[in-house]
Amino acid sequence: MSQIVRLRITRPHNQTSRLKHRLNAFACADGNDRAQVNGLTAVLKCVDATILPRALTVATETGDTLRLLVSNRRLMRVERDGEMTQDGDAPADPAEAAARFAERLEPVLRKAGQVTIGTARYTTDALFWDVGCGAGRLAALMGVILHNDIDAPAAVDPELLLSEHALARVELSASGRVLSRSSTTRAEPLLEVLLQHVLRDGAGDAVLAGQREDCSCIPLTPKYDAIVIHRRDGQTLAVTPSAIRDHLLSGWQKHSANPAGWGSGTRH
Amino acid sequence: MTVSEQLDALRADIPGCVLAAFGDVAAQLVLRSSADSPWSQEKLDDLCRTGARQFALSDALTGFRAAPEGMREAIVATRRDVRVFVAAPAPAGDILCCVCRSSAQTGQVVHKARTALSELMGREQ
Repeated sequence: MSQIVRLRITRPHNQTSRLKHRLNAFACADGNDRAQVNGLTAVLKCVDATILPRALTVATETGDTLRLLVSNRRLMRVERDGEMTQDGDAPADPAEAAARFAERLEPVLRKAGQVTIGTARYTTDALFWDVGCGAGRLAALMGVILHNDIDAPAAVDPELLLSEHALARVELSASGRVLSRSSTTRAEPLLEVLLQHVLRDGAGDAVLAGQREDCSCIPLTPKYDAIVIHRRDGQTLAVTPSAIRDHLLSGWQKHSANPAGWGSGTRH
Repeated sequence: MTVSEQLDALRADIPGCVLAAFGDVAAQLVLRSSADSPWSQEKLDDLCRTGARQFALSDALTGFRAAPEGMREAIVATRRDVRVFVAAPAPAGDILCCVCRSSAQTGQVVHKARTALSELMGREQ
């Protein structure tokens, strides 16, 4: 998945500090004219670092251009070669927005060998009613690891990984009651099958929490896994990008060994 | 090469692999195993039951899997180890399990286990 891209960052003025820091980091990485950076990841990291309204212009060596309107760390619109993804019918659902944006971003950025990122201010009035989507949701949808901190598997909190990357997720109590549920329309049927199976064993008997503690992963496609986590106090079912599999498994092992770790945080 | 020798070779090829076992998922029975220290039959049976549970779930998710007619895979992390299961396409019941100390590079473990199971299935035919 990872590709070698040549990064050229234009030096904009008056950026927010987070975005400035991010662009400077890329520029430093480009000191040898080559950086082991995935163009898609670089763009998503810039989105995640943009607080104030900015238009990010992304140009590739093949001549493709993208204009991303970003505000409050959310991607609001994507223009490809001057064509807007949406005019007046902005998705009301972040998952739908992410799916639309991914369709625009992936064909251009997956094949990019060189990415030039520039920024400019814009006014937010036109986007006032847009929902947009966070970079984390986009990264999860495209199977991209967004944050460098998950390069150190042992340090990852599985709760954090799931909240940031899961495409769909259900939290069950010890008695099997659904505590929370979130998913995209596409993942909903899959979640339903997971629920029905996990609440009943192979013989059709009810499965109670606490019978075992483990974290199971069933690869569904090369990009996505089904995850079932059994805890003393309940179960978690999720659909996650395969890219986070090893981090999730090792993170679960580490945090399950610590009673104050997994399960002590806030669940969404 | 015998089945036991193949399991020895698989275990040697995977860093941190403490057990490689070949069995029948339907019978929930381990037929051959290679381990760095002895495993009791109860532990081996429990391992096979865990695999059977995972593949029951995998079969339930058939409609969502990329290649439902191909080999099935499952990975289970416990507090002490990571268990990688690979099962032959249904209706064959062959199952291969690798128990590793670390969850790093599970993709490579799955790949090697798939290759080994293909070779073991080839022996049977």
